[in-house]
Amino acid sequence: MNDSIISLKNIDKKFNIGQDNELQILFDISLEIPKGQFVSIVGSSGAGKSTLMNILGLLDKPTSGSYTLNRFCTSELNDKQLSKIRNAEIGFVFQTFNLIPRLNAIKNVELPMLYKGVAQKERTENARKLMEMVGMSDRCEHFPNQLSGGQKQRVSIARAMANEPSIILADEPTGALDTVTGRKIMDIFHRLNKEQGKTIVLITHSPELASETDRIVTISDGKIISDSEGTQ
Amino acid sequence: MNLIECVKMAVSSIKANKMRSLLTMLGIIIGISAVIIITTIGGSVKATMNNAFNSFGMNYFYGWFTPKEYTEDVYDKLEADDLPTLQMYYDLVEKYPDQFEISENEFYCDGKVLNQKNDYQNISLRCTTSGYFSMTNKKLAEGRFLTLRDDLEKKSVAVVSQSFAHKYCGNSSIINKPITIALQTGEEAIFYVVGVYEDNTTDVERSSSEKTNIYVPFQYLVDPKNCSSNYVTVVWNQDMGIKSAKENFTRFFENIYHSNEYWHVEVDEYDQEMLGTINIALNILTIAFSVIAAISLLVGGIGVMNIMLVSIVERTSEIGVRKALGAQNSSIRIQFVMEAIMICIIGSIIGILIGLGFSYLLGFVGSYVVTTVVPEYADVVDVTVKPSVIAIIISVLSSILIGVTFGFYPANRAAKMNPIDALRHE
Ligand SMILES: Nc1ncnc2c1ncn2[C@@H]1O[C@H](COP(=O)(O)OP(=O)(O)OP(=O)(O)O)[C@@H](O)[C@H]1O
Ligand SMILES: [Mg+2]
Repeated sequence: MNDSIISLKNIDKKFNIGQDNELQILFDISLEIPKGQFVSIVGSSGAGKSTLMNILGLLDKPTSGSYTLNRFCTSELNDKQLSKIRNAEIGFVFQTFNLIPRLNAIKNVELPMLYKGVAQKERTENARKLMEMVGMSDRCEHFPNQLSGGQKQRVSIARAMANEPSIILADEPTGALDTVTGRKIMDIFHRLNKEQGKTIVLITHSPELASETDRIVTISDGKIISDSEGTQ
Repeated sequence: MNLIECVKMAVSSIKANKMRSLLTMLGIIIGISAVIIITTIGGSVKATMNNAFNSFGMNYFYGWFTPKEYTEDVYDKLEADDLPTLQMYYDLVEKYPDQFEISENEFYCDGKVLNQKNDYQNISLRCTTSGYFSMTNKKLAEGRFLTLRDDLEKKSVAVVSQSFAHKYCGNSSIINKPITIALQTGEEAIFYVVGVYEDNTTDVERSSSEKTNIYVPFQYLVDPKNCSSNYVTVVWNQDMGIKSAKENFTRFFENIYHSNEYWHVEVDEYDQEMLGTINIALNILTIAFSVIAAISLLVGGIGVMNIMLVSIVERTSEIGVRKALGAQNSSIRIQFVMEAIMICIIGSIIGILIGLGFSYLLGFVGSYVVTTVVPEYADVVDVTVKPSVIAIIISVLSSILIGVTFGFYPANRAAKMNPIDALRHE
C-alpha cells in the first residue's frame, strides 16, 4: 500500500452539478497504482476513461473521494502547488498530440523546463537529448505542421519526459496512428517503463496493446468492472 | 521565467500574426505619432521663433515714461524733472548686476580719421552702451564689444567696423591701436580700439563712399544725469526670464515714482504681441492634437484589449496545454500582459518614427517655404526641428501603461482558465 504512487479512494465525478443536466460520470472509483507499474485502462467510448485520467493528471478535481499522489493529498493543494506537481511529476501524452503550432519541435520539448525555470542553454541541451531518445534528432527545427502524426507523438513523448516526471499519463497515444507507427510508440513506452522505471497509465482501445502491460483496468459506465494482470 | 523569455515569447506570437498585430497597433501608432508631431511642432516653432527673435534682439523691452492716468490736462502738468534720466537706468543696472543692460546708441558727431596711408576716412562717432551690441545682434570679428565697465569708468576705448579696420591698417590687427579722430567741432580725441564688428552688406556698400560708425562708451561723452529720455531700451538677461525681468523693472521704477502723482515708467513690449498670437495658435493646435492623441490611444487600448480577448479564445487549447505542462497562472498572465505591452511598445516605436519623419518633413517644407516665399527672412528664420526627448520617453512609458491596463483583464481571464476546460476547448 505504502509504495503506491497513485491512490484513489471512492472517487465520484459529476458534471453540471446543481443544474437540470447534472451528470455523474465516475462512480466510487478506488485504485492503487504502485510505483513503476505500466497500467492500461480500457473500456468503451464514453465510459469515463479520459475523465479519470484528467483527475489523475490534476487537470480536474473529483467531486468527492480522495486522491493521494506521491503521498500528497491533492484536495488540499492550491492552484500553484498543483501546477508545480504537474510540472515536475507528470508527463502528458495526448491523442491529438497538443503541440503548440507556433513553436518548433525543440521549443515544444523545452516548455516544461521553461516553466520549471531551467536556463535556456540547459533547456536546449536536455531537449536535444530527449529528441535523440525518441529518434527525432533530425527534426528539431521542424514545426508541428511539418511533422507526421507518429513524429508528432514522439515529440510529445519527449516533451512529457522533459522534467523527468515519475508518472506518464497517455490518453490514447496511438489512437490517431496506424498500427506500425503505434507499435513504435508503444515500444518507447515499454523502454521508459523498463529502463527508467516510469509509472505509466495508458488509455487504449486496442486489446493487444493493453495486454502487453502489467495490468489492465476495465471501466464501464464510470465503474471499474475488472482489474487484471496483463498476459505478458 | 525571466523577463527576456517573456519578451521573446510575446514577440514570437506577435510575429505569428503580423497583419493583425499591425492593425491592432494602428490606434497606438496614430496616437503616439500625434503626440510626437505636436510636441515637435511646438518645440520647433518656439526654437525657431527664439532664434529669429534673438537675431532681432528679442530679449528687450522699453522703459516707457507715461501718465499714470490719461486725463485731458495731464500733459500740462508735465515738469522737466518728471522725466526719468538715463542715470536712473544705470542705477537699475547696478542694482541688478548681470540682469539688465541699457541699449542706447546716440549720434554724437561726425569726424575724420587719418589712416596710415595718409587718407582720411569719414566716420560717425556714436556714444553707445553695452546693451546695444547684444540687442542688435552685432557680430564680433575681433576683440570685444564695449562693456558696462568701459562705460562707467569712461574709458577711451572704441569698437570699429571691419572695413574701417582694414582701411586703417590693412591686414595687421587694429586691436589696442590708438586712433585719433578729428571731430567736426574742431577737437581731437584719441581712442584705443578694443573690438571690430562685422559690417553687414549694406555697411560695406556704404563704407566705400560714406562714413562708418565708431562706437565709444556712452558716458565718455555724455553725462547720464543730464540726459533724460521717455523711451529707453532695456535688454534683459534670458536666464532671468521675461517675467521676473518685468517685475524687477516695475518695482524699481515704482520706488522712484510712487510719490509722483501723475507720471511713472512702465514696461512696453508691443513686439511680444506676435509671439502671443503664435502661442495662441500653437495652444489651439496642441489641444486639437492632444484630443486626437487621447482618443486614438483610448481606442488603441480598447483595440488591444479586444484583440487579446480574441487571441485568448483562439489559443484556449494552447493555454490548456501550457497549464498541463505546469505553467502557473502567473506565467500565463505575464505571457499575455507582456504580449499586450509589446504590441503597444512596438506601436509606439512605429508612432515615434512616423511622428519624427513627419516633423522633419514639415521642417523641410517650412524652410523651403521660407527660402522661396520670403527669402529676405532666410537669414533670420532658421527653421529648427526640435523633437522633445521627454515626449518620446513619455510616449514609450504611456504605451507600456496602456499595454498593462488593457492587457491585464484578458490576461487574467486566460490565467484563471480551468486547465481541463481549456484543454477540451475546440
Ligand atoms: N466537461 C464535461 N461536461 C459534461 N460532460 C462531460 C464533460 N466531460 C466529459 N463528459 C461526459 O463524460 C462522459 C465520459 O467522457 P470521457 O471523455 O471520459 O469518455 P472516454 O471513456 O474517454 O471515451 P473515449 O474512449 O471516447 O475517449 C461522456 O459521456 C462525456 O459526454
Ligand atoms: Mg477519452
